[in-house]
Amino acid sequence: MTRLLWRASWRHLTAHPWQLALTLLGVALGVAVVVAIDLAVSGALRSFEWSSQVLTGRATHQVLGGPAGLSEQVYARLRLDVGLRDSAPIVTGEVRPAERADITLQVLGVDPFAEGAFRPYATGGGEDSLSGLLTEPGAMMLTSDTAARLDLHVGATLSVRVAGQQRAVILVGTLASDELTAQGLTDVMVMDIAGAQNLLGRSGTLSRIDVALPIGPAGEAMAAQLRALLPHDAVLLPATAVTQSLTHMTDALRFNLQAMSLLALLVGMFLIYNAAAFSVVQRRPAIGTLRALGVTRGEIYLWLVLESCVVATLGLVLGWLLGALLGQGLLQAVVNTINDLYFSLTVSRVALEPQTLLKSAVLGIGAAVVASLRPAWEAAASVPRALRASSLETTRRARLPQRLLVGAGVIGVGGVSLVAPGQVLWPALVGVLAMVAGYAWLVPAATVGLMALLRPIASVFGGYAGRMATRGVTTHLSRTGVAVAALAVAVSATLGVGLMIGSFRHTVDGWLQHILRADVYVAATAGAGLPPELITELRAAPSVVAVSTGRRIQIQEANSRTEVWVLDPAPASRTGFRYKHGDPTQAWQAFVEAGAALVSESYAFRQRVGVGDTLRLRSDAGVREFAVAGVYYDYGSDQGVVALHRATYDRYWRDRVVASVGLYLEEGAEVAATMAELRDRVGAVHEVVLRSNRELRAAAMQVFDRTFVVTDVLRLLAVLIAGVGVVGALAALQLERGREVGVWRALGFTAGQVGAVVTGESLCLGLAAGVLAVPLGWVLALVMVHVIQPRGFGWTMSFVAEPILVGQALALSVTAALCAGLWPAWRMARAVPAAALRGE
Amino acid sequence: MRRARLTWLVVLVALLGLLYAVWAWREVAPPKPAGSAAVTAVMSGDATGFTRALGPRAFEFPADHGPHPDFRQEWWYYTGNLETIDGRRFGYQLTFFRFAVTPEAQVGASAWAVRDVYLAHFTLSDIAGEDFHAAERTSRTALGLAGAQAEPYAVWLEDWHAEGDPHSLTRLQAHAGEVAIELELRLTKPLVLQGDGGLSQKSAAAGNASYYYSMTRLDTAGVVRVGQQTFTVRGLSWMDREWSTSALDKDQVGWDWAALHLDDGSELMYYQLRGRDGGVDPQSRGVLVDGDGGVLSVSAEQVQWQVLDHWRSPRSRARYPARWRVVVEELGLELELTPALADQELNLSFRYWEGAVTVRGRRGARSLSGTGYVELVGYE
Repeated sequence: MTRLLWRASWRHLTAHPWQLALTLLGVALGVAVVVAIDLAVSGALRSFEWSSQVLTGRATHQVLGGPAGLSEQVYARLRLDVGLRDSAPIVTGEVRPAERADITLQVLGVDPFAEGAFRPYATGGGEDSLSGLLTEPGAMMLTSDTAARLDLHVGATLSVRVAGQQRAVILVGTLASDELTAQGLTDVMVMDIAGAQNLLGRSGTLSRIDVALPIGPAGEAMAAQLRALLPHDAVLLPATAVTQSLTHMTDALRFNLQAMSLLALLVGMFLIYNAAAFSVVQRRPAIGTLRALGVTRGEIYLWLVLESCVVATLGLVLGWLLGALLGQGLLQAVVNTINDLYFSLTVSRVALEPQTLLKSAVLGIGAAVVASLRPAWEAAASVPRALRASSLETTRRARLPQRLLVGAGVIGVGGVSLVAPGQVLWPALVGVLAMVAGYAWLVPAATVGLMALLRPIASVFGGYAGRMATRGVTTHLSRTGVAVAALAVAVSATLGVGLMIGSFRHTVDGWLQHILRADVYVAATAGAGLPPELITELRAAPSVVAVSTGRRIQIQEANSRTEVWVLDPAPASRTGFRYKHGDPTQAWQAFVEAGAALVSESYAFRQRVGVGDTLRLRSDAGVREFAVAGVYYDYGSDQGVVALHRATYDRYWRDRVVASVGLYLEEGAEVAATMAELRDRVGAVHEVVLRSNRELRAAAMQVFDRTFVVTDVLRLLAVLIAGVGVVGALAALQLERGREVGVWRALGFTAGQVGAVVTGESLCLGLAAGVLAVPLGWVLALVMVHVIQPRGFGWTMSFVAEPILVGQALALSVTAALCAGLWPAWRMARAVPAAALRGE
Repeated sequence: MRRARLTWLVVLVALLGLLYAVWAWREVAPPKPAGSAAVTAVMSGDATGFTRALGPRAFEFPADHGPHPDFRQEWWYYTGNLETIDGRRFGYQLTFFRFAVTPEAQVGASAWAVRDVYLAHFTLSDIAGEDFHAAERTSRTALGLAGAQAEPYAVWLEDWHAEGDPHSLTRLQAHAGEVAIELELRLTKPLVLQGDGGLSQKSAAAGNASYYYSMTRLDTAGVVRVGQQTFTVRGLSWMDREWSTSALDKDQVGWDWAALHLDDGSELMYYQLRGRDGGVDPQSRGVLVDGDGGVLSVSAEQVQWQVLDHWRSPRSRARYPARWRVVVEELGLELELTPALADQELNLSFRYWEGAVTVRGRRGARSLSGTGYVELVGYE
């Protein structure tokens, strides 16, 4: 019996290769998007984690200093007084090759004599390179891959930019390691600690001390003992603390992108459903015969579901291949986003991980099975030797009221889940998905209604062809309904995300205009501070009436990392802050005079602090408490920022670095001319970046736009999948209606007229999907702006609708449907009537 | 047929097992200590730019107890035999090496710039416990992590120290894992300048020589710790000081060295430099220091150095001589040296055997006993 069923499957699938291809494509594209996002996002992070692990080596803990770095005397004390042998001093930093601005080299300065047990690769480069590393000025080692990428051979010099200066380093050897370790060492430049301090201008300080403590109570006791011995500005943290808190930063980003990829899979599910449903419709006579031959309902049901599984498995493999390609393509975009928003990261390549394959397999095959359950059930429910397709259409339309109820119910559940109070993101995302699914449920009914409305207009413009097209959509609702739903969902997602990004952009732009008060900004090049004499000079420059200074530091603690914005405000800086909570006057006064902190909205959200609360920060004088005087709007970091007055900061921290200066010019001063003059005055002596208010804002917006590149790609992919769905639906219609078209031709329709009817149907599908997508997209945007963003990032945004996006969504929908309808229309028009009618 | 297949399967499994065993055995071979590659790199450096020991020099103390940075390498070498009051015996070695990586340090503001690297070896031979402990440390001199100075006398590598006044009392302190020593060494005889007034020629080529002096008898007292146990000990130590830029000839593969404390109040030191062909270099020599401090030089021709036994290291597979008969006919001296423990091999950044020995023999009619240290370098 089973053999018979499988042979029936084989015959059916091979007899309808296009249909099979479309199902495969549905699974493959859905899976590909999931795999691609997983590959790009998780791959980038995994690679970051691996690289961190390689760089941390065998260390279990790290001693970190404050913003001014860790005094190297702490290391001497650990070795000489405490006798802590398993410890290694580390100096890190970043440099850029002068000729290759696209590469950032991570400097890892080590003491090879303290090192071996921590990172074997750091001392394993052979004797010659090691003694070179110790004695040659600027000596460094790279992996052979990185050396090749920089076109360097051993003995060659590389010119690098560091803290605004050009310095020469020399490759004395390559890092010997296995391939996996070498991957973690991509773009890592190992130097002797003396060379690293000299290159980075950091003599006297270390970045950290790596420590290996035994695991278990003995290690904990040693850790406690060490903590007691460390000076106030040093802290002992687990070695994984930094990496973990960095990767945690990307949680919301990762979650959002994964949700987007699931949406693509959902759209793919419509496709699979469509194909499965159609194959059942086609095989109703065969299934009837099988039932008459004694095949049970259960067997039919299982057979069709399993058939779906097998097809899905094929599609899955295709999806993996496509996903791997797409993932590599998306990787750079994701890496750029993480670089812009969170931390610097280099990933040259990523590998498909087993868990990605497993996850996508479960999702892809699961989606196929779920999508085929209903068609299979319908087939199994039919009586032996049953009716033709049309009976299904009749029952389907008869069930419309029932569907309306179900759809409304699911939307209701989604809505409840959305408005349910709480700060957790996932119920909101479940709510969104439920709303989308419920809405899709309503789409067939809405399509029937829309077609009825459209018919008079269509008959005016398109005559009988118009009428036939609108009717065709309704008559073949089992096919068209799903296609419209898929397209509507894809287009609404595009519209919703577009509206959200527009609102976000608008909000950020408004915020930037507000917070950037100075006319000209002077910033130190990466990794350096502005020399005090330069600041004095800038203060004294003609037409400069006021100066503000800024510095951003990261304070690492065991489970978190806090960004502190150290601000020495100019009088006008005050108006840059807009408060969500707190009285502006009092908050400012407390900030300036009473050593209070202002916190950004996302900080308040994440740390659950508000005005009147206190927050604790690890300062160079130990942990200190700061009162929160106000919560201000800020969209610069989704992790949140704590703003401290420079005077407050200087009281508890030793670091005196100023990283940027804002210059306020006198009324009526010409910005461009002043900047040119400043460049002449300071440019020759100091390497600094001068930017006008407008330039800085533009640069910030550029970063903003770059972070949405991945999202844009995903939106387009969803529409592409929906387009394939429309091709599938129309192609199926064409196959199914072969006889009908034969009758048309026999009645005297020309090929062109047949083509016009089919094209008309495509147009109707596109219009219906577009029109139905608008409300859903709008609601999605509102939900994203008012629920998802505040819950995911703690950001308040105003919803600003750009009407042009609605027009774009309609155009996209119609264009996608028309493009998808071209091939079916051509096929139908070309059909030979006699062949089509031969069955009669 | 079936049976044949089964046999093959068994053979295959056995082969795989064997392969695994070989592989696993390789894996458990003790790892080289941390920084060992760095040490090897340092020791293989270039000799250009350093001073060589070309002729006799006037030694000046205390200055010469301190470092001689113009020379490429230098060591402070303490060895000794100790005993508790109830006769439990220990041997110890605490050695500080200085290697100059480069004649001129890197320029720059960093305090970490490397010119000299210090390396120290600490061993404790627990004779009764039949246990040998060896540890190594390496450090650059940055931040006072390691160094040496003449006044006040101190040589240290982190918290391993030798300090005090070499002419009266020197304190040694070292610990590693579960063993530690804290000893006081009192000089009881004048310094002995080795070789030609302190110039110790190691091969015929000019400059292949070192400046070398010894403190041959140091009364030693202090404590030895092994695990939870602390032993109060007394005994005798020997201290060698040597600095050079180039010592061995390329045809020399290693040397044997012995320093013995005899119970008639005298000490015998002898070293022989071995050539690639197995022969002994004519520059090999030694001294006999009498109870009253009188020094007699002995040359290679005067000494019969006879190996009576061998021992193979289970770790390095190197084969070392393990028992000796030493005869100096002109002095009527006939001694037999037996290692107090067979395994006193230091398998560290560089591998050698250095351990406590027991001495039995006679000088003329008088029977002698004593203790000493033997060093064996360059055995494969």
